[in-house]
Amino acid sequence: MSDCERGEETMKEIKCTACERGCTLRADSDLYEITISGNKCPRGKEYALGEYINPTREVTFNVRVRGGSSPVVSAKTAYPIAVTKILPLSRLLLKLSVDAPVAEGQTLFASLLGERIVSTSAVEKEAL
Amino acid sequence: MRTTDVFIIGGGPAGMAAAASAGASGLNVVLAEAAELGGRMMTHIEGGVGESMFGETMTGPEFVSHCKKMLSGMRNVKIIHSSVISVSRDREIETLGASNNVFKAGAVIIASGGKDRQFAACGIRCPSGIEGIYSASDALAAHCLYGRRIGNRAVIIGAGSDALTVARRLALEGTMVTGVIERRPFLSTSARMRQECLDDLRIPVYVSAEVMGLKGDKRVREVLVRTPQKEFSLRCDAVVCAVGRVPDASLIPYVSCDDNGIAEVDSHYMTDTAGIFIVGGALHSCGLCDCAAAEGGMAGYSAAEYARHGVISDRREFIRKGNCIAYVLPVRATAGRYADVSIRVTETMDSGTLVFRDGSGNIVKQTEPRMLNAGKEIRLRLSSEEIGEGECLTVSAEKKQ
Repeated sequence: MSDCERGEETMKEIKCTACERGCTLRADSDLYEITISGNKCPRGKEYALGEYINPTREVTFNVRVRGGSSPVVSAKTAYPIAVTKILPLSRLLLKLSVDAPVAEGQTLFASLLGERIVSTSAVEKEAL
Repeated sequence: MRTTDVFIIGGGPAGMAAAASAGASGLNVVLAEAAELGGRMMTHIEGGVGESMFGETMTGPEFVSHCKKMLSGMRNVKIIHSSVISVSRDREIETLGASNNVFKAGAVIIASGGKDRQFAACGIRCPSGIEGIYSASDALAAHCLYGRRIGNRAVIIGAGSDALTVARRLALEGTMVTGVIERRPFLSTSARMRQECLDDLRIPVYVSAEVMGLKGDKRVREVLVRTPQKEFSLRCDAVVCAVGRVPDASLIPYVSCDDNGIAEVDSHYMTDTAGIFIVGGALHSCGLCDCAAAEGGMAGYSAAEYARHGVISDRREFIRKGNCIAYVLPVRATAGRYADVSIRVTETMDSGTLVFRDGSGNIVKQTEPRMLNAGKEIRLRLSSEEIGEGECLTVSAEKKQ
């Protein structure tokens, strides 16, 4: 039996975060179509579709810095990333570090699990 | 003694916004910050701030760098790295320093931020002198400023925005969060925060849960929790207490405050002591950086006006709190102008409205029924017609079916 025929696997309840109201949305899908219900506005439908197909988030991190005036630099992913990548990416970043100096907006890692990591603050070289 | 037109205490979002708007008037502005500019924004590395000031959202550190750039372009704004010890009624400011450390200002803006509500205030029993208990600010500073972790397994008490921000930071940076404990039966944050900070990272949250006590010898080892269904304990080696922030007007003890410690201000954020303004976390638990910045901007403009002319147009009491209202601010406003008010209710209502009545009991304004959350401030704008002339409004929260 395929996933679609099993029924419950293709239904997902989604709490809408598009606005403060917080509607409970429901996404049902068969082989051909995804149906969204429970939304009180069009933004809800858009949100639920994205959340059903591929939920993404903007994620920020502190990345270790060697020889800097601060031990860490704040960073973000250049684009929103898939929710499933958040924890693997964060575990990977814990083991990595960059060399000072770091400029704001500098690409720290060009491709970690396919994502670009960009700094959001500057760190100078440690004064000797 | 040195003189200046506007003196601002605190270089967080409220203080920097105040400096920018006071500086735009061309007067001399001094901003005193004891540490680095940015305040709590340097530990808010997540995005979503700055919309109201710069028209786009960015992360906390990016916001700070934008503000710094803006201020460095103003030659009449001077930033000094010093702690302020006292502010007198006649606006003499004493700062830490060997010499020439007293300022006389035309107007003073207190933007020094609030304080974390202390662990002791929750009434939780724990062995005295036990290690491993952190406030939300300390936990964030450990990660974002010092690059340290606070432990391997942490329990978080409280589920406001600060608590959830800490939970996410810990979980992303190698500390397992074994539970977020909330006393109320629901979370006082947006659905979005809950999704992104807890559900995405699979952090368990316990609502209607009470902390019965902490266990451990030298360092905390276990948190005892009771929910209506069961009692259990959570293993941990760190506890973050994130149960809200409290205002801090301790620099100006002579101004009138309400029983929550919130200074009585007018719609320009001036206290009842002429020429002394207070904004942001020091005034109330304003939550958002953008809110603090907006207040700072307003106060900066008004403080410059005051420094120049010595008066701000007449203000009178225009609103009082009625049933189920913890506080409302500002309490005084200028006739013929709108006022942005912040209101907190005393109890959460699934569906409630805020009702504004005039002196004879007629309803002047009523909000759409919605969830009124005691954990969150409600902000709205009253127009000059709604404020009216002479009569004082009473605001109350009422349940609606």
